[in-house]
Formats: sequence, structure tokens, C-alpha cells
Amino acid sequence: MRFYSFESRSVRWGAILGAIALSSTACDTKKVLDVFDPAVATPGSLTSEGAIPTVYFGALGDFSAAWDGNGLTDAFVPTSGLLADEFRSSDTFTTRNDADRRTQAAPANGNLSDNSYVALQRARRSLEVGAELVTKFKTTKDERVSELTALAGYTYLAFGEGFCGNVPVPPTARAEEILPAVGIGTVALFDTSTVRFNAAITAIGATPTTAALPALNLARVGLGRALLNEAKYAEAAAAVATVPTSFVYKLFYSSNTTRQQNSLWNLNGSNNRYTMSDTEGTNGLNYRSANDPRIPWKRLGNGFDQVTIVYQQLLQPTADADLPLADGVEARLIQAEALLNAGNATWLDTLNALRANVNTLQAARYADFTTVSATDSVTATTLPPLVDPGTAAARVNLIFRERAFWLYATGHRLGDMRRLIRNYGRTAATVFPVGTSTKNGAFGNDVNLAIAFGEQNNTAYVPSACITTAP
Amino acid sequence: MLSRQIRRLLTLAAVVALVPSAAQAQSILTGRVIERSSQRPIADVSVRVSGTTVGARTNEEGVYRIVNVPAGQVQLRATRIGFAASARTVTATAGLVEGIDFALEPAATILDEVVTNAVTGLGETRRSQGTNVGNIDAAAIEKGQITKFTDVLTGRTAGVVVQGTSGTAGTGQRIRIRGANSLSLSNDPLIYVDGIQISNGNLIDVGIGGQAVSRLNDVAAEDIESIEVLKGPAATAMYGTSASNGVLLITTKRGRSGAARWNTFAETGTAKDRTKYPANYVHYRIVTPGAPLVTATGGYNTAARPGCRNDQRAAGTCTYDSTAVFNTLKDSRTTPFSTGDLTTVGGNVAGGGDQTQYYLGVDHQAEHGVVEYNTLRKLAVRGNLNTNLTKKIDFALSSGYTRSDGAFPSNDNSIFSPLINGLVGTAFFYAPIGTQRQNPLNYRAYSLSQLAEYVGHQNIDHFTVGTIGNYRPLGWLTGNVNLGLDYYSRYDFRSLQPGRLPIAASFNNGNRESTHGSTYLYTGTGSVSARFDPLETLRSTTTAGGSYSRSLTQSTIGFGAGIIEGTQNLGATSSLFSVDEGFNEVISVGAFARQELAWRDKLFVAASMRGDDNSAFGVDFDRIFYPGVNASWVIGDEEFFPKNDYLSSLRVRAAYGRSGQRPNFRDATTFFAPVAVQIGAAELPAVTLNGTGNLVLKPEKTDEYEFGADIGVWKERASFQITAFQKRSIDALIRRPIQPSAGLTANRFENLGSISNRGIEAQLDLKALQTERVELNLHLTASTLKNRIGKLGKGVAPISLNRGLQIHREGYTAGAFFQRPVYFNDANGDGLLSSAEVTLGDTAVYLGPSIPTWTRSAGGDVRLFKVVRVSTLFEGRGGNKTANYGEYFRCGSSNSTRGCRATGASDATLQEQAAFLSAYLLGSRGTSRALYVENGGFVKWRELAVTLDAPERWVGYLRSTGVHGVSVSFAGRNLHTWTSYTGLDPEIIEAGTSLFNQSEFNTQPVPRYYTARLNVTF
Repeated sequence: MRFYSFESRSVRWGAILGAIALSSTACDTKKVLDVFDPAVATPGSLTSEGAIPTVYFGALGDFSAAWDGNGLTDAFVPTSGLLADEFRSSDTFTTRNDADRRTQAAPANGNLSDNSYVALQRARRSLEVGAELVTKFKTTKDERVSELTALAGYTYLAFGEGFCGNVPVPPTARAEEILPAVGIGTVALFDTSTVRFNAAITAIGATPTTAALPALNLARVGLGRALLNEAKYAEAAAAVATVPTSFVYKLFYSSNTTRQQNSLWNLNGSNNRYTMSDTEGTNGLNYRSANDPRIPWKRLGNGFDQVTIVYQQLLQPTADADLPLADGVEARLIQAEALLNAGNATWLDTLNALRANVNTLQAARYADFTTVSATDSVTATTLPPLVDPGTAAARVNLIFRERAFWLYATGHRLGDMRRLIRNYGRTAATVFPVGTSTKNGAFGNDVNLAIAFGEQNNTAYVPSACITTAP
Repeated sequence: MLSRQIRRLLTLAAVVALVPSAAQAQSILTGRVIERSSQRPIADVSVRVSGTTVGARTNEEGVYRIVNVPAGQVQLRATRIGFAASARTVTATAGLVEGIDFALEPAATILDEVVTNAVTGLGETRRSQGTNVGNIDAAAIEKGQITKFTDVLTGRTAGVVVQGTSGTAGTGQRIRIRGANSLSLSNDPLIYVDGIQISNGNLIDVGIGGQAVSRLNDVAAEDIESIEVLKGPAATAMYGTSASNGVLLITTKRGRSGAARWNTFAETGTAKDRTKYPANYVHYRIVTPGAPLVTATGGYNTAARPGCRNDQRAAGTCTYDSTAVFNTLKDSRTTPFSTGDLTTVGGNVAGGGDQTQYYLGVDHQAEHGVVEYNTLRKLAVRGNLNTNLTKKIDFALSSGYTRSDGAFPSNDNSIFSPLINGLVGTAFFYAPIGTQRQNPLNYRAYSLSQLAEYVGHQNIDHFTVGTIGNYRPLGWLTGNVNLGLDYYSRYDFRSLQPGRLPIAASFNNGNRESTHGSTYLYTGTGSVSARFDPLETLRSTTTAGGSYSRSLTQSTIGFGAGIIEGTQNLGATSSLFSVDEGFNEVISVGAFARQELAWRDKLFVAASMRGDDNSAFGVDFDRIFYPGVNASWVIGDEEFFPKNDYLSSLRVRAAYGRSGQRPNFRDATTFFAPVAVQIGAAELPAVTLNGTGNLVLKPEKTDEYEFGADIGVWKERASFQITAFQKRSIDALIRRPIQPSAGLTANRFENLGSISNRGIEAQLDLKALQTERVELNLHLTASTLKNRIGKLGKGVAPISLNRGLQIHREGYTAGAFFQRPVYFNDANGDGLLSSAEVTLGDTAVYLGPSIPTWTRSAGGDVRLFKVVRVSTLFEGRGGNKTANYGEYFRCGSSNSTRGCRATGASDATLQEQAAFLSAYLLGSRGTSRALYVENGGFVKWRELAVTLDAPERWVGYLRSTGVHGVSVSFAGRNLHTWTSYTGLDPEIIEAGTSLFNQSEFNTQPVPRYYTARLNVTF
């Protein structure tokens, strides 16, 4: 056998090997590996002035999806209503049954509220990043800055009203940054939302343009709601004093894509996973049997569990049903509660003024609202004036009942039930559903929605504080 | 970077160098290979010129013919699984050299078998490899018991676990080799067919529950010659990125010199569901005697017969006087199951001349599943060609085409599954309206006739073509080029006519789903190998080359509701439209080099290095290198080794290697998805964050050390292989959950963790009896596995999966089961538990692993009087837990019309009652599903086949008609299961495409098959 006999052919083949080796070295692999992805936008393409509409609408879309959209995914409105007394589960899914029964699982097992918690946090970031982008290229007087900032304030409101009082909020909302965030309590969440609402109001200035009025009133109602949560009744009333009763800020939904579809319609009217409650767990309000024209409903068939009868609320009866986020009716309700707490007897007049215009106001708030239809199970078309029930406790009950019926299925009820405990000294056992649940077993003790387990990847977060069931 | 001119010069130099050199004298070698004892010819023996790719296979008469053999002294080596290799040194003179015959002895050892490296194109004998390469002699397996390709893999080599995702015809399997390396990425092996990488995709865009499909099953088992299993990075370092989960090298049949030889076959069989499904139970009290079972509004009259669960009885809150029991899935009036059938017909022809050989196979399969609307039709065509273009260039073409049309019922966690509609059916039986199968009252929600309206379809056209060219300009130099394209188009669709399934608007009004998609996998590899002998006793082989691959998937997905009755087209829908396009592209380039040294053909050392770059890596990460080194010492061939009948051969081996797993498309990229947003009356374009990227994302690296020995005893009649391995993945790509408060997506990939797998594999092949009239061969395998997560990464909380039943937690096996412990005590001794008699431990405790910690298989075949062959295979796995989620769900669905044993059976055990109570009824005390987590071990009798070969005398009568052989076989598959698991089947999994989920939830178990098959050879 030959050993290194470098004949001319061998030299030639040595050249081949060398050529291959050098060619591979010389090759610019990054060019070879360049993949053009036609389907998505990159962060770099969304930082220019031209990207403002895309980012602005995107932030609004994220908020709408988190509040009451995203198809069959349980958004904040249905989820909070399930834990409260607005809805019952007609489902087999254990997470929905657990939330309805007030026995949410340990966070590691996953809970229904994970969806809305995550969606609200994403919406918060989108809104705050969007407001920064508009501010960068426009002035703060651009009403979009106020609108986005106010909506960010509503995400904090939802955290405060709905979730356990230990919600982490990062110091900034920079793109792609993953920052540790300390959990803040319920009152601090309302304080944070107040800061956002005040910023939105301040940005518009003292002489708002007509175009800026919706954003301004959105922020004012939000501010009033936050202050109400903190039992600052007079300040709350002052915040909403100039909001006209006819004002409505709507979240828009569409049948176009699943993400745009109204979540409550999907869960209640279409897929039969939720049903309207009626005196759920003794303490719940009689939303169906009250025969109240503010909440039209009808009976469907069996629910997804094939057992529970599904009653569909008809305020959001379609995939593209819009939802009032903030409106003049809520402003008046805030004022009425402030009057009651101030000992002013006109609180009842404020409520009765609304009741006298129930059909007009509901029609303005809900595009699909009709007074009575053939399929309705509500026969009343008017609301008689309220009379003073005479005792302080009964007055509080009455005004909360009025809020519950006016603001049914809008994401207010859970916060109100917790307010009754926090600000009015009630006990959970007298406010929340108790006794035997229709979903295997007794109601538990939960009064707020669980924080998603994923938050435990936040190094600054202390999950143990979340165990508390304090409202 | 070199200038363009220099690169051009180098390329020109290469081209000039490639001009063929002067012709050398060539020889043709031919001979016959027989079995020494019986003098029978042996087909499919590989006869090769040692150290080259030049060779041929014997035909049915045992004759081989090798052309283009360089003149001079060469060594010919004849090898075939089941026989001891034989070598002869001959002088190849110009022209024909005849009579180079071989007589082979049966042997269980396979050291001399050649495995072709799909990267370098070189054949490597097992004796030279430092790793244990699993081998499956697919051609020798009786096909009657094989219903799909993955059946060939099941239970035949140690360390390979094939887990069924369901028993639905056309669904795929989850393949794991030596455990699981990756917590968040694929744990599937790479697949090569004849050196061409193919997709093992499981894409299907119509939801059919957790069932997965598998393109691997497009390969027709009939066409497979053998399968080599490279089990880990120690063996796959040269395969680079994506090879850390092992590699399957599938070799299909090829032509042989000689007259065309035809093989035809026809098979028919049945499939039966033999599962022990549980019944529904309800205790109830008759409060209105004589009241109808069903009310006027159509529901069960529960007011007249209120239910009373066992726990309510225990608490004294109700009483009962009757018990209803009905098994919807087993009762002949309501069962969705019928006897399925399968038919396979096909044939192949192989032949050729000295220069060109061909193989052409056609295989048509039609299967009707045990659910009547589950069907699969598959046509597979394979054409292989080998040709010697010149004396120095040979060329192999491999091509395969498969057309499959599948119709799938939903399964698993789908309301449209016939199983869930039966398992959570009714404890009563309601007959009057129409036939029982059309009445929803006999089911959970939907009748069988309704479910049959909602069937997912997938039509596949799968085409694979590859060419491998070898150029041998000099005796010591070989160039290899390998080009491949694996392409499949899929058409996934489903139509639902209006008014058939009352569930939601998008269903009530009918709908149509349709996806057209294409997946391309382009691959190319080029290498040169130089072989020379620096010393008389030392042979050196040096190989260098590069590779390229590009995978591209594109699809268009459409949905519409409100369909016009009788139509099945998106254009016929009227609402809830959605349209989307799918896109996925990954490109990889690599360069590699390998140096192998062989000392006296007894001691082998090889080292390799591969460098890869990939489009899925983060832009700030450059490239990665994968080293490998292995050694093999055939001590048994040493002179000092004591030769005796008991210990006849010994080889020890050791190997180390690293390979990787790349991130997925877009994992490294932050991106926003286009969305529509409704503002007022307008639909406006917008974006939403859809992926949080990581610019420094790099591949996961898995290092593996492997040690082992191959021992031949009893004159090579028994072969024992034992291997210990330890592998550890570092920079493990963890789909790290991002805290929601960051406002980003739910997770992103980061190189954070580590996960290890270690174990021992053993395999015994025994030719227990070899006489003229009786042959008995046994094949035993066993393996152990210890999987452990080293770390998840700083700040990463344990990752929960499978609805909180399983957790990735540091220090435990991946996907381990954790639940709070359940304690119960029937304090009053009444045989009933109330919730007060059940308590939970404070914290969740480790219940066990989800991955089997041991596997064992035992197979054998007996040949009697040369005309009867009986083969069988048993396989067992265990050490792991599995969740009986189906029973958990059934019990939780208990009401006045349905329930499980725990809630409605008079003889329910305390354990059954405690399981239900702890999962559902402890209120604020919490919940635990610990008692639904059961031992997942089992032993299955996989296969039994009896084959009758027509005696030589009979065949002789037919020879004038051209018939050379006739055989008839009868086979059974999935014949019995031994297990303590109380659910449907411990092997099946609910989520077929998931990485670690181990639960059974309304999943169709694998049915039992019986087949009869006729083979005729012309």
C-alpha cells in the first residue's frame, strides 16, 4: 500500500478538498439563512409615525378582547360575572364550575381567570406603549393619548375590582422588556388607575375639542369609579358631575374574526356554557324573575352540561354586540351613591330619573336592546319609581341593586359585591352566593379572581400574599 | 470573506480536478451464497468489496454479481442478518471472475452488517462503530400483523418506545428513543429513507381531538428492507442540529441482478374493539310511580326519579330505591363500534442487469375503523433504481409516492367524540324514537347519527425523491452527493350540514373548514472521503463535506358558517368567515469532517466535528459545533482472546457525541400578527403582539456518553448486547412562561435548563434451535431509563401541564405527576364515604414519572418442517403513572341520569368514592386528583402470526406457470393487555402531539386485528 504518494491526481484532489473547505469558509451563511416572513410585523416596523394608527387600533383591539371579546375565551366581563351572582356555569369544564362555585383551584392547576388576567395585562401594556408612541410624534393633546391612557386606567380598575389584591405592575411598559414587578394591593391599584385617569383628563386640557370629549368623559367616569371603590364618594361624584347622561363609550365587537366576537354571546347565547342566574346561592339577585325591562332574557335549551337550563341575556345577543364600558348612567349612579352617603335625600330622585327613561337609555347603551320581543321572558316595559326603603342598610341594598340591574354584565358586579364588604361592612356570607351549588358541592369562600400561576415567574412577586381572600 | 474572483478560481479548480482520470482495468465478480447446513440459497445477502461502496445483493437463487471492481487483490465480505459474515480475498482480473461462493453459518451476532451513514454516504460496519445501533430486519417480519409503519418499530429494539395516540385508523404514534431530551421542543427522531430526510409532520387543520396523524406512516411497511436506529447524540453527532432525539435510517428494498422477480400479496382482515368500557350508574328514587321515563319536552324525567349519589347517601341527604346501569359503548343497540375491516393488495418487482437494477412496488390499503365513519385509503408506490453510470460513478434513485384519504371521527377532549358521548352517556336506556343510535338521549349530547355528520378529512399526496451519487476517481477517494426532496400536500376539510349539530351558531347553521397546505423539505449533502493505509495494519478514512436543508410549509386556511344545504364549499357559506395563511420556513447549513482509524480491523477509533448554522437561531447567535468520538475494540478477534464454544466473540465500545435541537420557526423573533379591529362601523387593520423573541437563542445541546459490549456465545448462536448511556441536554430550550404582568406573550424560548436521561439497554438474540426440521429464534430486549430535570433556569417557576396534573420541576422527572395526597376513613363503617371522611394533605407530593422507566419485549419465531413459521411478540413498559382523566370526568359529570361507579354503584369501593370526593366535593378544603393517577405499566401481546409456506414439491408443480413460491399467513395484532390500570388502555394518550402529557381521556384504544394474507412469488 502506498503512503502519501502524492501523484498529480492526488494533488488535484487535494485541491478539491481545499476548494470545498475554503468555499464553505467563504460562504456567507447569514445570507443563505435569510428567511423572509411575509405574515407578521416586526417591532422595528411599528415605531414610526406612520405606524400610529396600526398601534392605536391594535391597543383598542387588545382592550376590547380582554374586556368582553376573544370568542369562547372567558374575558373579564363573563368571568367576573360568573364568580359574582350574574351567571352560573352550565358547563362541564371544571375551571368554569370552580369559578361559579367560588372554589378556584390552586394557581398551579390553572383557573378560569387566567385568561382575563393575562389578556388585561397585555392590553395594559399595549395601551401604555401606544400612548407613548402617539405622544412621541404628536402632542399630548391628541385625544388618542387620553383615550389610551384612560383605557389603561380601566385595566387597573379591573385588577382592583376583580382580582386578588396582589397584582404586579411593572414600572414601565417598554417593548420586549421583562421586568420584575412587585404586587400591589387593591387600594394601590385604584390609586394607580386614578393616576391614569387624571393624566388622561389633564392631557386634554381645560378646553377640550369636540373630538376629545369621548376620551375625556371616559376618563371622568373611570375616575369616579376608582374613587367610589376607595369610598371617596364626594370626590367620585365631582369627577363625573359634568358627564352627560346620554354619554356612552362603547367597546365594539364583530363577527368578523373569533378574536373580535363578543365573549358573553359566545359563552351564554351561542355555546351555552353560561346561564343567567336568578337568586344564585340565596344571596344572589333575582335578575330573571324580577321581570325588569333593563335585562331582557329568554330561555334556551340545555346547557353544555346537558342538564342546566340556559337563560340568555339579550343585551349582548349576537357575536357583534357592542358593550358600554362607561356611560352617563353610571355617572348618575355614582352621584346617587355619593348623595346617599352624604345623607342627601335626592339620591332617590337621581335613580328615579334614570328609571323613568329606561327604554331610551338602554337603547342608547345597547344597539340590540328592544323593550319586549316575542322571545323575551320579560313582560314589563317600564320601571316604577323607587320609594325609600327607610333603613340605611336597605338603602344601600337598593342602590347596589339598581347598579346591578343597570350595569348587568358589564364587569361591575364583582367589584360592587366586594365594595359591600370592604366599604359597607357586609360579610361575604351575606353578599356572595352560599349554600349548595348546582355544580357538585357547596359554595366556597372565594370573593376575588385568582392571579395566574405564570406570575410566579416574576422574581419580585410574592405569591403567598395572594392567598388571602380579603376583598 | 474571500473575493468573488478567488471563489470562482477555486470552483474552477474543483471542476478541472473532477475530470475523469484514465480508465483502469475493471473486473466482474460473481458467485453464489448458500446456507452451510441446508445448502439452501440465501437471498438478500450483501456482498461488498471491503472498504468501498461497490457491491451487490444476492437474488432468490443466492447469486450475486458485482461489476466495476478495480483490478487487483480485493476482499469480498458477505453479510446478512442472522448469519455470520464470511470474507474471501480474491484477485480481480480484468473481465469476469466466477465461482466466488460463500457458505454462511447461522449466527445471532450482527457485527459485520453495514450501516450506511446518511450524512457521508459511506457504509460503516457495526464492528467499527462505538455505539449500539438498533437494527430491525423489516423484510423478515411477517406483514400480516403490521397495520402501519410504526408497528414495525414497536417492541423490536431496546430503548425505542412507540406510543399510540389512538386506535383510530390513520392516526399516528409518538416515538421516543432513550427518553425525552427536550422540555419544550420536539422529542421525535429524525427520519431518513434511503439516505433522504423526510418530514414526520403531524399537521392537520381540522380538529379531531387530541389525535395526531403521522407522515411517517406514509412509508409502506411492505417496501422496507431494514431499519437502523441511531439512538442518541453519541451516534448522531454527524447529523447535527435536530438529531439529539436519535435518527431512524430506513432502507427500502432495491433491485438485484437477474431476471425480474415478482412478489404479489393480498390481505384481508378485521378490526374489533375489545375494550372493557365502564357502565354508567345512577341510584334514584321513584317518587312518581308509573311516570314516563322521558318528559314531554324530551328530557329524562328526573323530577319523577331524582338521583341519589353515594356521597349524598353517606351524608343522609337522600335515599334511593332503584339503580340504573347501562353501558352505552358495549350495548349492541347503542354502541358506536362495529367490526372494522382492512384490505391490502399489492406487489413488487425487482430485477436488473449488471449495470442497472430496479425495484418497483405498489401497495393499496383500505381500512374501515371500528367506528364506521373512520376510513383510510392509501396507495403507496415506490420506485428505486441503482445504476453504474460509468465504471467510477454509481447512482441510486429512490422515489416514493403515497396518496392517502383519511376520514377521522373526533376523539379525546372533544364533545364530538363517540367515546365521550358514550362514556358520559346515560344510565338509562331509551328506545322509542327511531333507532336507538339516532336518539341523543342515549348519549351524553349527540347521537351516533349526528356525530357521523361531523367527520374530519385529510387527503395527502406525499412524494419523496432522492438521488445519491458516488464517484470513485481513485481507488482511495470517493465523492458522494445526496440530493433529496420530500414534499407533501394536504387537503384538510370538514363540512357540517345545517341543523345537524345543535351546539352553537357556527354549528347550528352548518359550516365548512378547508385547508390546503404544502410542505417541502429540500436536502443536499456533499462529501469526499479519502482512504489510505499509513501502515500495513492501519487504515485511515478521512471525510469532509457540507450540507443544506430547507423546510417550507405554506397553507391557506378558510372557514365559513351558514352553509347551503347539500353543499360542501367555502363559497356556499354566508357568515363568520375567516381566512388565514400559514407560513413556516427553516434553513440550515452545516459543514462536517470525520477521521476514522482502523487498526487490523479490530480496533477502531473515529472522531468527527460538525458545525451548523440555522435560520431559527437568534440573530445574535452565530453557529454551533457538534463533536463526536467513538471507539470499538473487537477483542474477540485478538489472538490472546480465549476461544471456546461458550464465549465466541466479544466487542467493547465507547462513544461520546453531541447533537442539538433547533428552536422552531419564529421562536427567536418578536413579531406582531395582523388583526382586524372593529371601531364604530368600521373594520380597521391593526396588530397584536403574537410572539416574544430572543435574539440570542441558540440550539439545545445534548451530550451523550455511551459504553457497551457485544458478546457472542455458544458458537455465535446467541448474541448479547448491553449498553449504558448517559445524556444531558444543556442550554435546554425552555418555553419559559413570562409573567403576565410583563404584558407580553405567555412565554418565550430561552436557553436555560438542563435535563438528563440515563439508562441501560440489553438485547439477547438467540438461535435456540437450528435443525433440519425445526428452527427456534428468540429475541429479548430490556431497557431502563431515569429521566431528570437538572434545572429549569433561574427565576423559572415549575411549569405546569396537563391541567395541573403534571409539572416540570427541578430534581424530578420531566412531566412528573404531583397532587395533594388523599386520606380516607370510613369511620362509621357503612361502606360509604362522605366528604367529611376524606382529607387532603397540605401540599402536593410527587406521585411518579410520566415516562416509562423500563421497557421489555420478548419475541420469537419457530420454523417447523420448512413449511410452518410461527412468530410472536410481547412488549411491556412500566414504572410510570398515567392519569385516568376519563373516569375523573365521568364521575364529575354525575347527575340524575348518569354517573360512574363511585357515585352510583352499590359496590363502589372506598377508593373509588374517595377519588370522586377528593376531586370535587371538598369545597374550600381544595381538590386533589391523586387517586385518578394510576400505575401506567402494562404488558401487551402485540403480535402472533402463523405462516404456511407451500412445500417445494408443490411449488415445483406450479413452476411451469412461473410461480416460485406461495405462502399463506394468519396473524393477529393487539391480542391481549395485562395491566392494573383501571381505565381504557394505559398506552394511549389523549394529546398525541403533546410532549409529555400522559393521560387517557375518551381516547379510542387500539382495536384487535386479525388478518389473512396470501403471498405469491413469480
